Amino acid sequence: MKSKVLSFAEYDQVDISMYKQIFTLDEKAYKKEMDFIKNKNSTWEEAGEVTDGALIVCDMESVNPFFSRENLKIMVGQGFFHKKLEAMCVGLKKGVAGVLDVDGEKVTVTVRSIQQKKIPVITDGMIEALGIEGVSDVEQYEARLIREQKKKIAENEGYEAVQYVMDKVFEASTFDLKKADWKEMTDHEIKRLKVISREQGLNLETMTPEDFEGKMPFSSYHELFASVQNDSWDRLCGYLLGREYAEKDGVRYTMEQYRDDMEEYVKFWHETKENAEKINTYEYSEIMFYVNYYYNKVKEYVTENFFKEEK
Amino acid sequence: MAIQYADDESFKEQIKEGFVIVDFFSATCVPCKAFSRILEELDAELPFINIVKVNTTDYPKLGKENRIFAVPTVQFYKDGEKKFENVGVMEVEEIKEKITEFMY
Repeated sequence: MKSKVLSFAEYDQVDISMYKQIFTLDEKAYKKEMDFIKNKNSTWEEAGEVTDGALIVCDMESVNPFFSRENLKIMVGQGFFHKKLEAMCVGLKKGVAGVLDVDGEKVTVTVRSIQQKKIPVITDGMIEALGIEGVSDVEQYEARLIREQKKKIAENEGYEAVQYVMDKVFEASTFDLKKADWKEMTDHEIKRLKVISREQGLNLETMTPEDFEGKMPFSSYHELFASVQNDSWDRLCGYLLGREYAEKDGVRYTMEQYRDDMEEYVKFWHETKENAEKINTYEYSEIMFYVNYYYNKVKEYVTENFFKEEK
Repeated sequence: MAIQYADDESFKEQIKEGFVIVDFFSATCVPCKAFSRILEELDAELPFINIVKVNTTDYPKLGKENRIFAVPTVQFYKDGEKKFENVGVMEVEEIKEKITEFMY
């Protein structure tokens, strides 16, 4: 390609304060993660009396066959067996028969064993055992959970901010864009869509509005072409900026990377290697690598700066 | 009871007694990973529940025999008899509902 960047604005200088949000911790999700670690490390201890949450093995006698069982394992309070009976088991002593009135049915329960769950306090050792890179203590794990929550929100809600940054950078930069490159960029995408359509037994150029329905948000080939052509202009700018940053970072797309990409594509889309390479030519993959390289830089910047500083 | 992995030989033995949840998954399926984590949470909370995982990539015969057309597919067994099947991810609470329905 002969197009080039003459000068460009840095994405991390674009002000995104109007998109910034105040972070509110999702307490439920946070607790779920902490409870998972506690549960994983909990131990079971023999107990003499049934308490809520205990795991018991018992014998039951009743005229009702449902309540007439031997060696029945119940986790008291979960309600998997019988919510009311489980609640009535609380307080029963090991080895002592208890006569319960369950909705008018007499049920004799003899608890054979009682195990009480002992929930631990999370320690650094438990965190270390998770094997998360760079996380070896409780404080680091808590910080990671918060970071992940923030990242998730920023990734879900930061799309507009990413587009804004990219638009601002394109506006403030100077490109020497060649028409031939714009056409090449468009042709690559159209060619790719044609291969995919052909695989589904469709001819992109003669597809009817009904053929497009549910597949692509267009009603004719010309509408699709115009949209691809329009996007290709920005894609070309993104590609050129991606190359600039990749070069600065000492990164470049290689045939080895292409092979890895195709392997991934084959696995993910359950395609043959031949089809994967037809859909994603090396040239197309190389372009997309640099387009995404730039996009990801911007996205990372937005993700890291999406929340207002806490006072 | 820790989560157990099945192979062609062990599967029938693993489901023949008691209440068992079977997760048919494949190594490259993204929702399978999410479901796997849900089962880990369930196992940590309710360690007495038997969970058996079948990797359909490694054991395609098991997938075929059990008519698995998509992953994840979860099946609930009681004494070797299939009681319920769901294609796709189930949340912990949904699994608990099935435990209540079929375990005893």
